[in-house]
Amino acid sequence: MAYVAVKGGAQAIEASIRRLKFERLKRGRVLGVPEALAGLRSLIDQVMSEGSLYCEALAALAIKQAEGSPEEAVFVLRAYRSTLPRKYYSKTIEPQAMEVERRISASFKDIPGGQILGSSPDYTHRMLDLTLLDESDVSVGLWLREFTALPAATAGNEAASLRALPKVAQYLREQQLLPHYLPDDTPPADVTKQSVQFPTTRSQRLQMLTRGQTGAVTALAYAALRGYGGQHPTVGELRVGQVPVYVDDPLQAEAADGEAYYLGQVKVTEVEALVVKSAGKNAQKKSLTFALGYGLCLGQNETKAIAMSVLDQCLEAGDPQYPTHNEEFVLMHIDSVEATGFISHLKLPHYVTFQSKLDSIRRTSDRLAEAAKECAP
Amino acid sequence: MDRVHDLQSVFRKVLLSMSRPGVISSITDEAAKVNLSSPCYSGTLLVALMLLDTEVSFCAVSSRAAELAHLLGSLTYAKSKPCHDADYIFVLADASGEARDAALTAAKIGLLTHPHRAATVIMEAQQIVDGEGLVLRGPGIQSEHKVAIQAAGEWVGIRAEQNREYPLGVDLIFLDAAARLICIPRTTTIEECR
Amino acid sequence: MNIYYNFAYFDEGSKQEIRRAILKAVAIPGFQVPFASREMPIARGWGTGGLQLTLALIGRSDILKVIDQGCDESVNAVSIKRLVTKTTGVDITDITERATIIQSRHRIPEVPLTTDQILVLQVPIPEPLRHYEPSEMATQKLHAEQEYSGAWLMLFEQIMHYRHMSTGADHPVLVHNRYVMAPSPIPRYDNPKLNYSPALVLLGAGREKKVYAVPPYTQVVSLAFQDFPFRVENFSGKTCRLCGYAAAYLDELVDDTTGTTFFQCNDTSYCFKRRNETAL
Repeated sequence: MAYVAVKGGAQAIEASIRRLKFERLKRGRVLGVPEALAGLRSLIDQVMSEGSLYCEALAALAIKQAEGSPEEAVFVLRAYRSTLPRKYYSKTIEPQAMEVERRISASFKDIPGGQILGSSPDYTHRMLDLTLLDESDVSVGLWLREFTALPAATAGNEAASLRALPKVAQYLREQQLLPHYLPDDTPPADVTKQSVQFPTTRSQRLQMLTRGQTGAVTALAYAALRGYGGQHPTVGELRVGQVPVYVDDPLQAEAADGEAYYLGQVKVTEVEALVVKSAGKNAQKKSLTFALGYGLCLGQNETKAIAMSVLDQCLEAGDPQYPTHNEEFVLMHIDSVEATGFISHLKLPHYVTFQSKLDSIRRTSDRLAEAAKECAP
Repeated sequence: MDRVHDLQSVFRKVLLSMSRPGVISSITDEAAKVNLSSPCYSGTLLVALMLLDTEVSFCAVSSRAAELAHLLGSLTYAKSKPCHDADYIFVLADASGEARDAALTAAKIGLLTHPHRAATVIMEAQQIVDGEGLVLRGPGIQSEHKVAIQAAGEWVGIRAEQNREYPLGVDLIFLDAAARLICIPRTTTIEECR
Repeated sequence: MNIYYNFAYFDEGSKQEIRRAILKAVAIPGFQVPFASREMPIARGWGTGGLQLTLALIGRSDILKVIDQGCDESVNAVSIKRLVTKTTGVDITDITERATIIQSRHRIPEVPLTTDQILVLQVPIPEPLRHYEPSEMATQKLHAEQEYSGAWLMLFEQIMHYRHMSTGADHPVLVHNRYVMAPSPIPRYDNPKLNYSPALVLLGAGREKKVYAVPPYTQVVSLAFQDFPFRVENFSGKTCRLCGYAAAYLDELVDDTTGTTFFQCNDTSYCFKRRNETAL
């Protein structure tokens, strides 16, 4: 009779997976993807941004599969992203041409085009709303009909003007308060295709920040503001809206704009934050100027975009006394999939390495015990 | 040709030969399925398809270099670059000794911090014969391996010069018209038997 | 909406990038080649590096063995095997001799490997100098300059504290007399198997995005001092409770009922093989 391995591992895994499914279904109700799409807009935006994949339907499905865990949903979405062939890069997107839904500035009271509050929880009172328990498809339908019947709030301004709002930063450039840089058309690196090497380029840093776990990016930016970064930025402009995406014909060199293929629109959040910097290498000729910290996220992710703009400036400054200015420290630890993966890997068997730790500890205590015996009178 | 399975098979054979320098691998079966006409051997085309995509660059050395560059560019979207810059250099059978030597001399050898950013040179040879000729030693070879490679130019000497400061250096892949290949990574020492 | 998965999970572009990195790694033994490292359906830290290598290597005729801490049935090994079979349909085996590709976390099998096999080791921290120097940029320079005093210092400190080198696993090695390499958390017992191995050994770190290689028949020497030579774990006087073998790496276990300590082969398939052979 031959000895064979008992297939315990596989059975245990199958039972665990069934158990997980039970936890998701035990209340007997299905969370439909349409319901998730309708009601979980903010989580969908977060998952798309951290997942680095723009597709609301897939993000909603991932959230359903993950039972609402952003960590799990982002994991699933990124793993799916890995299977997609990557053949094209879009043409450069101009956020200035954004179809703005929300646009504010903390630097100036009044800006050309105005402060457009748009949709944001910022102006609500965060009081738990029990009336939401009574919402029904009927009540929602009624409310929507009333809302769409309202006259447009933008008196005089046409919808078209929301597509061409000037940037606050442009005003500062015209006033010579923000340095004017010549356009740099160096193709950006793609951190998902080539692993990052240090020192990084700014485009690599921005990519890693935008893909970062919202909480991690927020925490580090918070630390930067609280003294661990020496940064005191002001939000020059925050925009949320839709931007169009175009792709060139891959077999033709740089085609004219009119010949590019239009793929659709994506919603993004863009933040341009202003910090005061001293300029000029000569100690005597030092002057003060503004520098721009940049944040851009897929979806409406305002906290992350602002945090990103703070950290962008920290990493540009690179002051060695601040941990938030250390690019390896910041960039290597903010990715959701990497961070949660490594932390959770501690659950894997470490019997062999633990055994040798036991061995080392025992040897030391044996040696100390022996030494004690020798010293004993 | 099945791009997924045939190229996987080609990869495994190139890997085998790269990890065991001097061992001749044959991709004749896979090459037989190639239906395109090209300026290079079918075997060379397969190796190119296995290696190249939008992320890397290549250089073609041949009187039909432009034709090969166009073919590889449209099949793989890989970028064409001059020899001193290219990640992969394809030296075809018709290239003269001088052209081959020039390409090998120009090939990038990497940096001490990034020795992997060196070129891989794929050279078409007239003939590859096992068991006689050059004596190869080094990682991947149990004691020594003899192989004769019939190809124009002074590649042995130029390679030795390029590879004199390990870990910097170029890695070579030789192919013949019958789609047989051998690899000589920079770690291999070559002794010419006179 | 239909999601169609490619053979071996990845799209061809991803496989190409990994394959290019593998070929360069083999040409520079012990040097950590960066690679893009795609996210996998399995978590980072759980073997995605090894898994990416396996998926880039594997073909229809391969036979795969996956072990974790020596065991084919460990939950992690089973999970990896399921993913590979789900996306390739390739045959799986527990029997080391039958496998063409062996993916392993933290052990090299007891059965000597052959020239037809490729061993893929899962690596958590590929940088042998990381404990000494947290900065990636700095360690790159140290490798370029062959500046390995940090590794020697770590061993020296162990000797000062404990009277012997106390790395349990992942004891650093010098490959082809040039690069100091982290062999992955295999026990010291397994380090000698890397030296002049007939099989190709590939090492993958998914989270850290590095792949490195030890070609067959390559010199691999565990770091040691002349007066403190390298020593493997000591199992003298101990044998496996199940197969009686004394020369394998043993796990220490406690009997539930009697409370006594006993030992058992860590490599479970090897133990079965021995027990079946003696039973005949």
